[in-house]
Amino acid sequence: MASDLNSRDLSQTYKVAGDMFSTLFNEIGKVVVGQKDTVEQIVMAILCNGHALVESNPGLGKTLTISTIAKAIDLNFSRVQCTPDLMPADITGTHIIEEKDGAKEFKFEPGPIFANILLADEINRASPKTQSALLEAMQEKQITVGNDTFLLEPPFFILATQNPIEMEGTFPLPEAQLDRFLFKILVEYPSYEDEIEIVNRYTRSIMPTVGKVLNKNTLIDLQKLTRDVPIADDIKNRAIQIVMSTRIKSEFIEYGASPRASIGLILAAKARALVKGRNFVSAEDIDAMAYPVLRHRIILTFEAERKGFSTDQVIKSILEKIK
Amino acid sequence: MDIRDFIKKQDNALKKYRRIYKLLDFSIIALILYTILLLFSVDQLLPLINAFEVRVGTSYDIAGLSINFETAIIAIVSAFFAFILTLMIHIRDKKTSAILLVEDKYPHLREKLRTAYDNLDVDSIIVSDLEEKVLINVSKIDKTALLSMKLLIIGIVGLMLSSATVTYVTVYEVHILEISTDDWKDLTENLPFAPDGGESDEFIEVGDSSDEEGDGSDSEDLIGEPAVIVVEGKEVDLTLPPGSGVGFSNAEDAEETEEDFQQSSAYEISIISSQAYDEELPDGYELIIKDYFEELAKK
Repeated sequence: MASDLNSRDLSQTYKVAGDMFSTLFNEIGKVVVGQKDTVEQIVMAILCNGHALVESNPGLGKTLTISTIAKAIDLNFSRVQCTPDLMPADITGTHIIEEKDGAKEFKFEPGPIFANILLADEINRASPKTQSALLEAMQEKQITVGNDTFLLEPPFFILATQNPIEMEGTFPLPEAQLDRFLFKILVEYPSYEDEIEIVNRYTRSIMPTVGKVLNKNTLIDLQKLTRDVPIADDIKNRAIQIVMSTRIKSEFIEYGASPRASIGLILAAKARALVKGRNFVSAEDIDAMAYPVLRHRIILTFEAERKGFSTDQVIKSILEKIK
Repeated sequence: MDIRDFIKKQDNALKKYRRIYKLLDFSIIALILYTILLLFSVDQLLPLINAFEVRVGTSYDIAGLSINFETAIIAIVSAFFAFILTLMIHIRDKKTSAILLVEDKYPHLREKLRTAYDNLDVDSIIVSDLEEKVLINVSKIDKTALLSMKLLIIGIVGLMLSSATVTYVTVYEVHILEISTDDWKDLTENLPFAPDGGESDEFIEVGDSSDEEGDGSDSEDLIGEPAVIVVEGKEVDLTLPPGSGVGFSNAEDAEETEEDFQQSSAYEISIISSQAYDEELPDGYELIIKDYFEELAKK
C-alpha cells in the first residue's frame, strides 16, 4: 500500500516535473541574472545527490546563486565562511558542558553541517584539517565527533566556492577531496545585456527576492526519478569510454578520472535529461556534462600547462575523438 | 505488439531485404564481369591453358541448353569474382542494426527507440512512459519501412541494363579486342618475364665461346635426359669429364701433371696377313667353288 502510494506520488511528480523545473528556474532568475548554465548545473548536482564546487573570479555572484537556489528549494541552509583559522569543530559541531538540574553533562551542539544545503564559501581558504572534516560528510553523509557518529538528514549537499586568483594563504583542495565533488562549475563573466540587467536590478530600492517552489519531499522524488531515467547501452558505453580515455597517459594528461567519474557522468546526464524534459538520456547530455564532471578529475602534464592548454580543451578533444 | 516484436519483425525484414540487395549486386557484378571478359576475348585464351585445352570446343547440355565449355568457364570466373566483390561491398551490413536504421529514417525516434529497447526489462515510471510513447510511434511504421526503394530500383535497372548488354555482346559477338588464340599465344610468349619468350637475351648467362660450344660438363642432353646409353645390357655414361673439349692449353699455363703410365708387354711390330685373304682351297677346284658361290649369290 505504502509502495503504491509512493509510486503514485512519484508518477505525479514525474508528470509535473517539467513545470516544476521551469518555475524553479524562473524564480531563481528573478534574483540571478543570466548564469543559466551555472544554475542548471547546480540544480543537476542536487538532483544527483552530489556536491558541487563553484569557481569564478570574485564578484560574479556565485554565493548569491547558491544561496538563491537554496532559498528556492525549501531546505535548511547554512553557510560557512572558510578562513585559515576555521576549525573542524566549527563545521561539525562539538560537545559542550551543559548544566541541567544542578548536574553537568556533555551535550552535542550541532555545527552548520547539520543542514540540507551547506555553502562552504571560499573552501580553499580553510586549512587541510578543516577541509578533511568535510570528507566523511560528503561521501558517507554522516559525521563523527569524538566517539559519536551522527547521520546527516537527507537531502544533503555541499556547495563550495573557490577563487582561482589570490592564491596566497590558500590550501588547494587535495585530489581525493576534489574527486568527491560531482561537478566543478565555472562561472563566466556576464554578457553586456546581462550586466545592464544586473545593474538595473541591484541599484533600485527594492531588492529582488525569491520564493520557495520546491519542498524536501518533492526534491527527494525528483532525485529518485533522476536515477530512473533510462539510458541506451551504446550511450552508456560511450560515457565510459570517455572517462577511460582520460586514463591513457598522453602528452597532456598526467592522471585521469576515477570510476567515480563514470558514475557521475551517467547520473549527471540523467539529471540533465530530466531537467530538459526528456525521458531518455541523449548523447548530447553526455557531451554537455563531461566538462563539469571531468574538469577537476584530470590532472594535466607540465607540458600541457606550459603550452597553455586547459582541462576543458583536453576534454573537448576527447569528446571529438570518441564520437 | 511491443517494441521487442517490432524490432524482431524489422530485423527479419531487413535480413530479407539485404539478401535481395546482395543477390541484385551479385547478379549485376557477375554480368558486368562476364561482359568485360567477352569483350576482351578472354575465351580465346582458354586453349592455351593445359587443363582446358582438351575441353575447348566441347559443349554441355544443361537443362536443354547447349553451353560451350568456354562460356561456362567465363561464367564461373565472373561468378567467383562477383561473389568476392559482393561480400566486400556488404561486409558492414550486419553492423548496422535495424534499430539504428529505423532511427535514421524516423528522426523523431532517434535515441528513444534504442533506449526503450535496451531498457525493456526495467520497471520504472519513466521507462514505461518512454515505451508507451515509442510504441505509439512505431505502430505507425510499416513492415517495409527499411526497404530502400532507391536501392531496389537502382538494382533492378542495373540488372536489366547489364542483362541487355550481355545479350547484345553475345548475340552480335562484339569484341573490343579481336584476339584469336594465336594472338593470345604470341602475346603471352612476348610478355616480359615470360620463361621462353620476349627479350630473353638479358637472361642468358654471358660466357666465353668455349662455354657456349659445350664443355661437356653437363650430363644432360638437350631435352634434359641423362646422357646414358645401354649397350648389350650395360649402361654407358656418355658424360664428358670436366675440362674435356676445352682444347690445348698453353704450355706456360698448363699444369704440370705426372701421368702414371703402365708399360705394356713388348711385342714385335710386323705385318700379319689377314685370314680373309688366305684362301686355302683345294687345288684344281678353285673355279668350281667360286662359280658355286656366285650362283648362290645371284639367287
